[in-house]
Amino acid sequence: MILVAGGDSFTYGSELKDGITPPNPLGTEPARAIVSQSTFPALLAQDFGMEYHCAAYPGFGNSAIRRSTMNMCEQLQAVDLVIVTWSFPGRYEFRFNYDTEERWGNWYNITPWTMLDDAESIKREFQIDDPIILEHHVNNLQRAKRTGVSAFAKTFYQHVGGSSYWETYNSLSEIIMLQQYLKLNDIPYIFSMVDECLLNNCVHWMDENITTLYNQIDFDRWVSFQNNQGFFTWARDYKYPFGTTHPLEPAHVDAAKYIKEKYYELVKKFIQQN
Amino acid sequence: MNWLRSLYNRIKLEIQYRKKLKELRKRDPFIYK
Repeated sequence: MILVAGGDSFTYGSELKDGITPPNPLGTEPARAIVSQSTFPALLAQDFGMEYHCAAYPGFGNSAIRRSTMNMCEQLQAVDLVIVTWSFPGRYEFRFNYDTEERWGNWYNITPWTMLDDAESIKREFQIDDPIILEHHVNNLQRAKRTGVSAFAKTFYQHVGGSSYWETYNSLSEIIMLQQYLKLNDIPYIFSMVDECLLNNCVHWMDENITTLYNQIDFDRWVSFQNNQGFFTWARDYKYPFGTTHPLEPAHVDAAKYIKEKYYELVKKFIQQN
Repeated sequence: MNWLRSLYNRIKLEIQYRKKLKELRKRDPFIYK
């Protein structure tokens, strides 16, 4: 029995004690990568006695989440459950014409931070001080500046990506593509999100294009936390302990309990339907 | 006068961009990893 988890740093387990972020080819990060076994999907896999495979990676946007999850399902073939936690809609993945000097070579996820190179601005965002993580961020941003990714990100956000219409349209397309892939291949799945703005944004932009996409989403397979929140906003508002920017182990333990209930509901529904 | 209109549009775009980026960063505080 195999469980595949897709998502960004929350699903990967950034800042959790048992996980190590993979090294960058040119960086000073640790030499080996260890995927955390303390994240909520990993805890669920342990609970269900399933083999855990993580397709998530820190910094991933929704295009990358869809791509990596589909690729992993294709590689593994016999997948019994997929849990995807969609990221912030304002991140975008591109395949550049050159090596970005990052882990995925030509593939790179730009975020509203990609064009930043000022250490002080980065430090201001941290909930606790951590010079090692700060250095890691500064190195990555300097690389983005050197390779040209940073300049591209600025132009892209200025002309296209800064629009909440485009981020919504783009994320909905990715969500539906993965949903249809999983349904087509009869793979049970649960979708969740880090921030409820992913779906709330749709309400503001209900034109023909957004409505057409929105109506294709199967909301029976979605799980949200208290007050329909995403994992990050829920952990933040309910004052779970944080690292520099990520919720720590207690939030994952409680999230696993939440999603477990949803999983049992889905299984029950599936048995009743068949 | 075209140069003036062009300059005005460029400044307007830059202000909108900076404002939007600030909003996006507030929502997504995850600088890289």
